[in-house]
Amino acid sequence: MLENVVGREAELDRIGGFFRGEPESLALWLEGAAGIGKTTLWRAGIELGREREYHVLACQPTAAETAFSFAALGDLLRNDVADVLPELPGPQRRALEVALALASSGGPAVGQHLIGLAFLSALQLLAAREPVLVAVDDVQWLDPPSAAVLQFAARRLTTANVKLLVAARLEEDAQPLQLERDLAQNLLRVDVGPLSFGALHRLVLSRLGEPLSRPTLRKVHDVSGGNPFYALEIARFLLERGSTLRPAEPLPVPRTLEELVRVRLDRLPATVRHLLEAAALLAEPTPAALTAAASEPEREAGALDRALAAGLIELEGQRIRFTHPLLAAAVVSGIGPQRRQQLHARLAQIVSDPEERARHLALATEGAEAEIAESLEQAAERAARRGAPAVAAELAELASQRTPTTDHDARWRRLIEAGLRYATAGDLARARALLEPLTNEIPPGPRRAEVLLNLADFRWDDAGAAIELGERALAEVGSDDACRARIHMVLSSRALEAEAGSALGHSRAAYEAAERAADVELTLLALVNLVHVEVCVGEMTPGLLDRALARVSIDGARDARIPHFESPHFVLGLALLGLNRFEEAKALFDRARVDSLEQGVPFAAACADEFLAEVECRLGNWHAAALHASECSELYQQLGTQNQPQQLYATALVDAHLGKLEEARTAAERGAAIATEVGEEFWAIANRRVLGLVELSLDNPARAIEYLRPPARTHIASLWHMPSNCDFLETAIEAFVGVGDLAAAAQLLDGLQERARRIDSPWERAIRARCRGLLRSAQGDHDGARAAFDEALREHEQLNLPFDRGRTLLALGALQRRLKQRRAARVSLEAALAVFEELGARLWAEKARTELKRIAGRTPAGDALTPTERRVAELVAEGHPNKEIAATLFVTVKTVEANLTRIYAKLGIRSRTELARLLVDKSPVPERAQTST
Amino acid sequence: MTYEPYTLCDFVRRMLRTAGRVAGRLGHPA
Repeated sequence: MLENVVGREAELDRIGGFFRGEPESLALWLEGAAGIGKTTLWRAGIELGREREYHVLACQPTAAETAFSFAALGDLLRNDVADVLPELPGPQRRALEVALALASSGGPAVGQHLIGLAFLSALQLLAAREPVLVAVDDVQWLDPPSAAVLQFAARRLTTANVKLLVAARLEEDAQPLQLERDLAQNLLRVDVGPLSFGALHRLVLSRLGEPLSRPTLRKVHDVSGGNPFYALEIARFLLERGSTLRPAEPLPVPRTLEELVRVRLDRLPATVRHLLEAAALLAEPTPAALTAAASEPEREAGALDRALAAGLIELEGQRIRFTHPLLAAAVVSGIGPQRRQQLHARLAQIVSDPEERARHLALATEGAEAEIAESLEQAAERAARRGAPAVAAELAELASQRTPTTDHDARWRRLIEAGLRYATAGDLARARALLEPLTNEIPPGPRRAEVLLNLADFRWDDAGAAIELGERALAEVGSDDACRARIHMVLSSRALEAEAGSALGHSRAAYEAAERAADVELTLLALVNLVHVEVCVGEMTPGLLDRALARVSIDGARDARIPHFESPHFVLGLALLGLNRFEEAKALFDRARVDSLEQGVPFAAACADEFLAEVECRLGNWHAAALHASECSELYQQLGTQNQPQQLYATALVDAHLGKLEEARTAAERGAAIATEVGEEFWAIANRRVLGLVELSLDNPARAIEYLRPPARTHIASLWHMPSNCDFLETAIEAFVGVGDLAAAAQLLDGLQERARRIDSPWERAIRARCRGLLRSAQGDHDGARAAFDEALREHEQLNLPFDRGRTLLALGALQRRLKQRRAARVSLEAALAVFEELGARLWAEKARTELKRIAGRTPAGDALTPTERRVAELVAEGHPNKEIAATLFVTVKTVEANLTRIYAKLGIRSRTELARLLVDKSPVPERAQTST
Repeated sequence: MTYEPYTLCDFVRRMLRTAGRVAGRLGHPA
């Protein structure tokens, strides 16, 4: 094989390097024009891979318009599927069997993700035994479901034991393929260019057995532009004609490559041409299929051998392939329209795959025909069940176009089907384009109500439009209670967002309708959504939450009918989070996460990870929190949608707790900016709170406030009654107290109190009490402060939230120290220190240690101020802003801030006000003797 | 029919929408 590769030494070198990991990359991407020699190099690549003991999975898709779903996936796994299937987890095994038509597609439709996951698992299983090379020729012709599966796997491949070898045709104006974009960072590109003159000479000699004269070859090289396929065709033509060119005589060959190939095909006997035509139109041509397709099998018996001998096709097992895709394309373009319809009609009778049969039938006639529409509709259903919704949508749309215009019912049914399949495949714009006109065609009634409901569901970006559509649907739905329940659920969620105030009413109506419909899954979904809305609105029906908890068991099997996004565990987890029942919320989120991972739905798992990271921070399991945050980032990375504000929040929150402040800052600043940009205030606030917490950890309340100024529109953020909103207020209060702006702190404390009117919890009581303690302490009401801290600690006795408790102990200890209650202060501070040390809260432990050192009543030498710090302290105490101080001392504002941070730490204070007070009381400020360095 | 409109609660719908917007897509990202 390799010795047949002519003039490609440089390319072969790079392919060899790819296998040696020089440079390390997942994929080798061979790219070039039609006929340039990609396939030759692709085959050489496979050969080189095999020499290096790679196990090869290969497919060579063709341009046949009858290719059926997962044809290429079937080719890739042809030799391994029997080995691999028994080792896959149950759901993945079924998905792969259904996709590859190895098992019946009865039962619920297979999700695209699950097929992708199964393929990924299969690759990993094989790669555990030996290195695996996935080789795809003419990747632009992959059937779309196979392409989706390959993309899914390629994004997630982490083992160095799997490599991809891809050949892609470079076409003018073509968009880069998704797979290419996904692999961009991990791809070695080889541009396959023209052959040199010398290489062309060697090629002609080796393939055609005789040379062309040098001047003729020069002309061939010029005309073909060094394209080997084109050049060989010209050379073949010239050699067969048997005359030499005179100088300056133009090449007597057709101008285009396709014409040239046609001349060659036209000289074949009719029997061979007919055989090639059938082979080009079949999705999977085999000798048996071609014999079956022949109109006069006996006359055509020798045709296959002649086509093979002519080098136009080759046999690979029982599969017939054109030796070059350009040959197949030329064969197809040469079939007249009438002959083509006859052929498709004939092929429809002999193929066994229903999808391929439906396509042949459709191509066999034009115009409406009930039987053809029917077969297309069946093919659509089958494709949908096999996990190929985009193909199903296209087939259903074709079916609607072929439906006789008088049959309204069938046409509407097929159009609705097509619209919903497009939606499943993620193409909401196409779905709307098909369904919207139907709302004017279909008479009012339950069927139109369903279309309106779906259109409402698609309006992600326009709550007003969704509500209008939902209300129209509600007016027509009649006695279909399941549909009514869904309409109410869409209306409820959109009403909450639009603040229409009717969310609770719709949620209750949804639950009642679902119960009337006796639909178990729908009732469960309606129930958990109702509980969540009750938490958001702050009106809990007694006993309802318990009913939901009883139905959503943690240990039970996942309900296969409920789609992953709608995990009742997740929604109930959100409700419990809103109620600050953190341990229970954690168990539900974890269950949702496991289900989502098992189902191959990274997005849903990432959502669960975000909240698990937050909850584990609260519960003091910071290592677990870090694992969830990193899994979350990884999952989004796999999805190709990094920089999600919620993911950045999780990362930043964990880093802020662990004292990785720079990392925390970077992530949270980005998260806040992106959230603001896309208009998600909730996540903007969550990220800004982390930035505030970072500054508080550094005793920098003035900078914390920059991030924590109350947002203008708090209602959106408070909509869900989430604990992170409470965190925001709590952090802001501490910062305002820190800078001595007690009025602002008091106002925010009122905001915290306001939350309690809706729903209260021991955690929020503890947080409020700590904040009250900080405020009272700053106001000089020491008894009030003491009582508040005690109250917070009493609440903490029932809670398992160490970080919050530690911060309360620290605040209490600091107060006791200032009140000269040395023994009590030591007990509180040592308890705080123990908590922080156990958590790994480095900076907070340091704060506790600093406070402890001060109890002795002396200021250790290390805590004395340097001359610069003293100067900064004095200027601050005189009321100068940082900018002025920086100008006065000829330093940057950052330096002033850094000095202030150290000053606060050394003096055990938190604000400029305190600093001013201290300097008035105790001036002069202790200054450390300058040591010469 | 295998497609059914989402029964998503407001919060999950918004999370999906945010993810979609950040990814520059309408609807859900998965």
